[in-house]
This record gives sequence, structure tokens and C-alpha cells, in this order.
Amino acid sequence: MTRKMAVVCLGNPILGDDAFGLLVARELEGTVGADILSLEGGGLDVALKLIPYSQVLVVDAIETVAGKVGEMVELTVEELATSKGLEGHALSLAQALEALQLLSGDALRSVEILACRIRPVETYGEAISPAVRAAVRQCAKRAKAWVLEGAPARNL
Amino acid sequence: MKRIVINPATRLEGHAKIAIIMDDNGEVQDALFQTVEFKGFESFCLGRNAEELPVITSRICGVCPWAHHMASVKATDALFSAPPPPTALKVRELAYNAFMVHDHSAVFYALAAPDLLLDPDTPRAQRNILELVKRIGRDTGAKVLTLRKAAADILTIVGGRATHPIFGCPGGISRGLTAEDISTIREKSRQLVELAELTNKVFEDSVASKKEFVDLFNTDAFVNRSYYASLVGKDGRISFLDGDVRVIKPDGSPFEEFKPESYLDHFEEASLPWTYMKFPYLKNVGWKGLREGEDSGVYRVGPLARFNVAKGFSTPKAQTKFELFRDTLGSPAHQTLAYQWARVIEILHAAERVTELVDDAELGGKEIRSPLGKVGEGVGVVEAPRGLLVHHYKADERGVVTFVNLIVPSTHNNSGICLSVKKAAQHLIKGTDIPEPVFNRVEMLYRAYDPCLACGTHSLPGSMPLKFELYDSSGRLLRAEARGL
Repeated sequence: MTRKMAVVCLGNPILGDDAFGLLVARELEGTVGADILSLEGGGLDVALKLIPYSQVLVVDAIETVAGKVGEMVELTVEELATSKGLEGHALSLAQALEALQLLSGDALRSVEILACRIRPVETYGEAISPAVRAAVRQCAKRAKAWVLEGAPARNL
Repeated sequence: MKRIVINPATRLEGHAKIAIIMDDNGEVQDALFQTVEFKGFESFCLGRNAEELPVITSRICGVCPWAHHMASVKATDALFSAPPPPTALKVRELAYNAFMVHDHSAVFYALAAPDLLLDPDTPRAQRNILELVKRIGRDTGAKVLTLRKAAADILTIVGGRATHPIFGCPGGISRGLTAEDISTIREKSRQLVELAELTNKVFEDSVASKKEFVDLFNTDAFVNRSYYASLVGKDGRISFLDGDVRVIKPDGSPFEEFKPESYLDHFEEASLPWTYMKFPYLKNVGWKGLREGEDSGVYRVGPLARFNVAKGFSTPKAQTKFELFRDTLGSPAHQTLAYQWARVIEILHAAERVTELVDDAELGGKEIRSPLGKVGEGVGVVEAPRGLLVHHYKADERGVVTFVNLIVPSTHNNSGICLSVKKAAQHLIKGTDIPEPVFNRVEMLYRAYDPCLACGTHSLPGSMPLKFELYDSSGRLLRAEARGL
């Protein structure tokens, strides 16, 4: 079976550092032999876009209060999922990915997450902080290696 | 009881919080729904070309972008004195109804259905769409997703993208529909109706026909007797895109009706110290605090408000369901949980409307945009899935933005949400040992409104964090639950 790979880059371009994923997508475009998806939508619709793929790398920002801005972290869907807690508007990405795994069965072989730490976003704007901008190239490099070697992102 | 001041400045990672404060007797004294709004949208847009705003504002939200896009487009129609030609209006309406199917169905299956279709004692860790899929079966779950994808496909055909459209522009739309587009949409519209009928059947079989759920809906603590506001069409029926704003009293009698552009004469906003989100109220009643009833200016918007304000739907299948709703719950229906039922019926109306519009002779017309006229001021009001959405802009003679004001549905509903959470908490919570099903009941009231609190951020964990905090009468934190890493 041919494996189809995708790098899914998430972000919102008018919420500052939350645009991180979209910047990585721009950096990757045309440089790797995998589909690069640049998405700004919510959980369930992101999951639906992943149906054709057997290996997925999700690139996104992750909010931190005390952590170092611009630092990269690797996560699995299980680590991302917080099954305790309250449900608000829309489906969380973690649940959407879990739902996708449930519905796809064996067709979806792996989902990994590569995230850049950012400060919580509370203000509209297009400015990107220097530390996050510097992380874009590093993240793109790791994503390229993931595509080329097919190895888990956390090993790269 | 000691006075507790919850300083919103202390919240760090949470975008919203429910704080329950107990009195000395272990009874709920107060329940506060505290939210943080993203700041600075109005200043961010100043100096921009007004024609950019429909594309920019759709990015306020990753789940309901079409609502902002459409309200913004309507505001720029007015700002540029460019009423769109009939073809553009028909295409916009078709797309918007496809979006309503798309949005409402996600809310129902992801948020409402786990509450209503799973056992009440299902642990919170399992009260979600994953457990729902396991319960209804993978095949049915996959079918729902496939049918819902038809709505996304229609939005992509019409808007260029399902999520953040590049579609509407001042005076019309950027691209018309070809005969092939219309043929594809026609085929997919049948899938929308199939999804809508399936969803309504699921709801009626599992909820509306069951006495325990009707009794739950009618529980006094889950009822808020408020005013309601929504758009109504010329025929008095529910309208998502056009018409005047009608407001009714808690007893269902008319209160006022006005053109959308005069909203500032009718809505005013109050501020309370413990939350950033404002509390809109009816100016001609006045702000009397967080209270329900005819002498309070609190009003609600959204599916339940639309059902109460209008006299029904223009499409036959949805109208039949509307009458069943009224026969079951009365009119006006003040039962907050009934928002979920109204939502499900609206999916059917929206699907039917797509099937009607796709056969409209004007849909494939070539006149898709009017020339722009004098620049000034524009107000665009739509019924977003969650309720009345207002976009108000002013620009200078070059079309550069000088003023932006947005009122989103969840702001309109802020008072309603606070009242619902408080009443539910006071009814359900006795003492500090709260069983999980009780805790979930309080959340159900909040979820009924499906508040959208600037969900446009993607930063992981990919959803809006919501904290729950329980305080005793001395202000000591007894319990806290939250999502987040």
C-alpha cells in the first residue's frame, strides 16, 4: 500500500504568534514530497482533511505561561488529549484526531505533533515575536527530515 | 458571606471560567461566568482598506467564519452604497445555508449529542464524540461525517475554501457559478437533506419523544424567562440573512422592531468588574442587573430566540418540525436546553433551502457585482448559528476604515449564559461534594448556547480552555477543573 504523508500546518494569521504553523507551511511549500496543508479551521474539519493520509505530522503553536517561547515540543495525540475538563465551543483537535483514528481504523498509521511554545494570545495583530520567527526554519527542517526518513518527529 | 472579588486579571491560561461561590450554609450564593475577550480588533482594522474586512474578519473564528464573512460583506455593501444584484444574493444565501448545516451539525454531534444521547452517568472522560461513535457504531459515525462533508464541498465550490471564504465582496460576489457547479451542488444538496433528516430522527427518537428529557428541559432551574431578539423576514418567518430585527417580551408579545442599521438605538452594553465581556441589554427597558423577567433588559439570541420571535420556517419539512417543537414546549419556549432541538431543526431548514435555491433560475446569472458608489458607513447584520451578529464600519472617502464595531452572538447572550449557569448551579449543587453528573448538568446549560469566545486561535490544545472553580464562603478554593496542558 502506498503511504501518503501530509504535514498539516495550523494557525490563525491575525493572532500574532498563533500564525506559526502557517509560516512553517510557507517555508516548506514546494520543498518536500508530501502534501503541505495550511489550515485555519477548527477541530473536526481539520480531522476530515486528514482522511486521505496514512501518516500525518501536525505543526502548530502551543501556549505556555512559564515555558521558553520559541522552544519546540513533540507530542502524540494521547499526550495532547485532555479527557478531563470542560467542553467549550467546537471539538478539540485532540478529540478530532482521536475520532479520526477511530473511524479510519488501520488506514491512519501515525499522527504526530510538532509545536512551538508561544505566550497566550489575547490581542489581534500580525506581528510575530522574534523567538517564534526564528523557530520557523528549525521546525521546517525537522518536518523535511520527517518526510524524507518517515521517522517519528521526536527522534529527529 | 464574605465578599469575593474575582479579579479577571489573575486569569492566565483560561479564556473562560465558571466560578461557583458557596454561602455559609453550603448553598450556592452566586455563579459567575467569566470570560476573556481577545482585544484590539477594532484598532487592528483601522487604516485598512474596507474591502479587506470580509477576508480579515472571517479569521476571527475557525468554526463560524462564514457568519463573520457574510456580516462583513453586508456591511461593506452598505458602506460602498452597492446593493448586490439578485444572482449574488441568491448565491450568498445558498452558501450561507450550506454553512448553517455544516456548523450546526458539528455542534450537535460534537457537543450536544454526548450530553443527550449517552447515559447521564457516563464519566466526563467518556462523554464526548468518541464514545458517541462507539455507541452509534463506526458505520453510522462515518456516514454522518460523509454527509456533513457535502456541506463543506458546497462551501468550497462557492467560496473557494470551506473555512475562510474568498467569496463575498462589496456589491456582490467574486465569482459566479457555472452549470457544472450548480449540478454538483444539486447532487450534494440531497446529502444535506439526508443528514438533516437523520439528525432530526436521532433527536426525536432519543430525546424529544422521551418524557424524562422533556421533564429535564422543563425543569424550572433550566428555564430563563427573557426577551428574545432575531432577524425576521418580510413574511415574519425565520431569516438568516435579511429582514428587520424583532424583539419580543418574555410573554411572547411584540416589544419592538427596527432596521438593523439602527441597532445602537436599541442595544446598550453594561460592564461588570469580574469579566471582560460586556452585557448588552435592551436600551428601552434598561439594565437592572443579571435578572430575568419583563422589567429586565436581558435578552437572548440564537436558535431558541429565532423560534420564539418568528412564526416558523418557509420550508415544509422544517415547518412540520417547528410545529412539533411548539406543541411540545409551548411558545415562547424559555427552556434553555431547547436551544439544541431548535438547532437540529434549523439544519433541516437550511438543507431544504439549499435544495430550493439550487433550482432557482437566477442562480447561474452573469451579473454578480454592482459598481461601488459613495463611501460612508455600513451595518451588516446576520443570524449567525449562535445568534444575531453585527458588523458596523465607517470609512473615509478613499475606503480606508476609520471605525469598526462588532457585537457577536455570545456577547448578546452573555447575560443569558450567566443567568442559566447561576440558576442551574443553585438548583443542583448542595454542599461541596458535587457528583460528576451534577457538574455536567451545569455545563449542559452553558453548552446549550454554544458560546463562541474568540475560538479563532489554534494554539494547542486546539480548543478554548474553560475552567471551573468552586469557592467556600471564606473565598477558599475547594475545587478546580480545567482543560489544558
